[in-house]
Amino acid sequence: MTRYLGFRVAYVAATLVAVSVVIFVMLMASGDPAALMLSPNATPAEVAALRHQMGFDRPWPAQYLAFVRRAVWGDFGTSLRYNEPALGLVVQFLPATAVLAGAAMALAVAIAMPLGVLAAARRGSAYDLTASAVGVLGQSVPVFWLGMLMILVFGVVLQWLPIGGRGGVSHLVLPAAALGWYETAALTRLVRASLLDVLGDDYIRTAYAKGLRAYTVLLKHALRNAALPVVTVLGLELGTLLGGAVVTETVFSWPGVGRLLVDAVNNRDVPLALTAILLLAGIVICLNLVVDLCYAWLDPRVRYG
Amino acid sequence: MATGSDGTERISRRAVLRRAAALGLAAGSLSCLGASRVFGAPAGSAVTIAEGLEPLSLDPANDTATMAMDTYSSMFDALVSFDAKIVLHPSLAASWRAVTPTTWEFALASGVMFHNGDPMTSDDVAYSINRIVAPDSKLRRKSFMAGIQKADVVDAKTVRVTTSIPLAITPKLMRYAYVVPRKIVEQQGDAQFALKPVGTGPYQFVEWVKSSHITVRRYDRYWGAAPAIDVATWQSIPEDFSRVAALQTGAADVIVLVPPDRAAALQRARDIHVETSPSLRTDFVGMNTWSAPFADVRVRQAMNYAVDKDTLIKEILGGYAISNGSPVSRAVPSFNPAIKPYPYDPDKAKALLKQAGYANGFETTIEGTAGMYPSETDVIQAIAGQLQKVGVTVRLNLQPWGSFWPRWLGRKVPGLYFLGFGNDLGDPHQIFASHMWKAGRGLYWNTPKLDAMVEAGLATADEAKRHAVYADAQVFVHEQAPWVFLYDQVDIYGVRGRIDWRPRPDEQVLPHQMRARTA
Repeated sequence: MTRYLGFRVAYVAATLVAVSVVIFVMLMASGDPAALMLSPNATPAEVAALRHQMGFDRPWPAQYLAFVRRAVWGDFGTSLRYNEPALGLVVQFLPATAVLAGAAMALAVAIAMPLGVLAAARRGSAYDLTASAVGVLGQSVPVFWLGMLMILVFGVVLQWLPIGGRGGVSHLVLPAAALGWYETAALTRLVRASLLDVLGDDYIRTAYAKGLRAYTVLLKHALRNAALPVVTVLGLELGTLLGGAVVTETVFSWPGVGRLLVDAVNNRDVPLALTAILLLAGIVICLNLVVDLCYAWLDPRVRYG
Repeated sequence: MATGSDGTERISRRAVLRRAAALGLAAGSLSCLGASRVFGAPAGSAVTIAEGLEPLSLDPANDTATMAMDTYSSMFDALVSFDAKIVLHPSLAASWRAVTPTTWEFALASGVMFHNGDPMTSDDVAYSINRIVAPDSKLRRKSFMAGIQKADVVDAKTVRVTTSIPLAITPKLMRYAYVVPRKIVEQQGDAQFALKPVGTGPYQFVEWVKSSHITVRRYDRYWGAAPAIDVATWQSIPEDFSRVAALQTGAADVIVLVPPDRAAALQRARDIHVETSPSLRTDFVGMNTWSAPFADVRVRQAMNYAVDKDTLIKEILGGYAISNGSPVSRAVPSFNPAIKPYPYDPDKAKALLKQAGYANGFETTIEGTAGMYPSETDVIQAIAGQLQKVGVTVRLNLQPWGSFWPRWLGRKVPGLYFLGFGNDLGDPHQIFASHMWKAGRGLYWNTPKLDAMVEAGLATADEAKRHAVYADAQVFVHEQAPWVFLYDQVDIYGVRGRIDWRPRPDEQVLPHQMRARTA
């Protein structure tokens, strides 16, 4: 296990370096941050002076290495836009995104698990049809469109829920539902398929033959074994939710890292964009590691070494 | 649990329905959690303004966006201010005079206090100007105050401003130098001051939750007229759809940048009214005149005759724009009303192109952005179609602002480009300096004749003489046609019925100019 953990930590570091290089090159290739830092009235001479002052006229490898040298000590630079430490800003906005992603995932699990179980347990029934419909709709409806529809129906017409911003629990419902809709669909299909697979196994037939209650067979025996692929996907999807909250945060004016990242990229705020992406990438990679380690708990047959 | 026909036990439908009902009750109860108002400002003497962006900083010298100035003008004052007709008025300066062509003296108003209770001094005023214009200043406002060299304290009530060249617009430029308390800025540093600003304005800072809202509260010891609104909140809602929804639900009282296609629906809504104002912002298609074909004035004029501005305004902008043949917006006091827009005349366009040697037309590109100006993508596409009819084939190159702007500044746009320009100084000099003056930023066109006119306008403080010079300059530019002159924007705002407010051409949405009607 120790050797496995060591390998995974090295893998995390290598992945983060690769991500940082790719994102840095893409950001630098897409425009001149100096021009965007100054007012629209700035002359080319003023832009050139600022470019030199900020070091943007140095070769890209030199700029990247300077960033890495500082980042190793926890200094991810200063946001060109806000003139505040980039890491502090991202950390400031991260809880909002974490809350939104967590709520979306919780909602998805709360709907997908019972619906998927019912669909598998009662194949061909109304539950099964509902699960299929949810699966198809959820994976074909774009988040931004769904979000706008929800705002219109539940916010403007019915006035049941707030249409944006961050506040109490009621503010979380619509954005979490919009963000979690795709996950609900994907998880419902996965739970159903995985459970159907397990329900065909011999030990399940044996359990029924022994007279165990359907509730016990389904939830205590079948679901536990069917949960393995579901747990894998949950971990991966939580990472996807963190990064995919960009659109939802924009539609619902939710003050999270997604919006911060969009603004940073649009304004070529290289330190802020790099920091946000590296932090999100790191979280996704760590989540994957946690998921992998959970395997051993879920399935005693799995061992690392 | 129910027993199925095969003897196995199944989860009953009734159990599922019971659980679903419980879930529904829980969801419905959420509607009781203050759902009808999103953002926390109470009704009554409070107002919530939904903007598309938030300021980069609450240091008033470190963001130049028009929307940021709404917040700054509420918390800070400058030596001068503009009224709704873009006429200059005294503010923190009671009066001013030109001592020499490069020296101005400002006599300060009395009884002005900062929000922390400290009196404003002439030292604070001089400091506020110098921190912007200092050679090593990194504040974004610096380029707007080009030509201002320094400010000195003359006595407790007088500040002297020195310019590097004769600069008739010096008093107007002072609008950008909001006065800040020197002691606090030097103690805290620029970065900290930007998070907890202190000014002399009618409102004092309460809180800023980034990407969410900024709240200010009325300052009871304000030296000027007390505002009617007690609490103002600016919300940052970037999506047009979400902003309109916020107005419809009452979450916002005033919203900016209403899309033209939503204005009619909002006008019909109960308890909402749509306000419009001609803007200081003028949209145009510029041309790179340093090489063929746009080096030829006949080609440039042909482009103007080939574009049907009236159709663009009617069909795409819903009538929310005003055709203009001058580079100066109609809302600027020195606009020359004698200049008429180029009429739509494709036959004349073709004749001019033939004279210039382009009887078979030519190919070019048009660069622009998406989402920066009202319906600009549709307008650009329509213009390309109209130019095609006179034989000019236009390839579109639409980019995010972050990509387009550095290209434009680097003089890398080879053909046509779509831009808008907001003249918040209310002075023709600003548009000429930004786009046509060689000593300023005449990147894609400039001529010695216009340079002389611009410099003549700068050199005299006599407004009548300046007015005459700029009138001639506008005629000259119209004839030389370095742009396809399009239109002045008409800004559309949505306002809840309880708020009494009229918009301004400079796009300033100021809570101290609003009143809340009692229910």
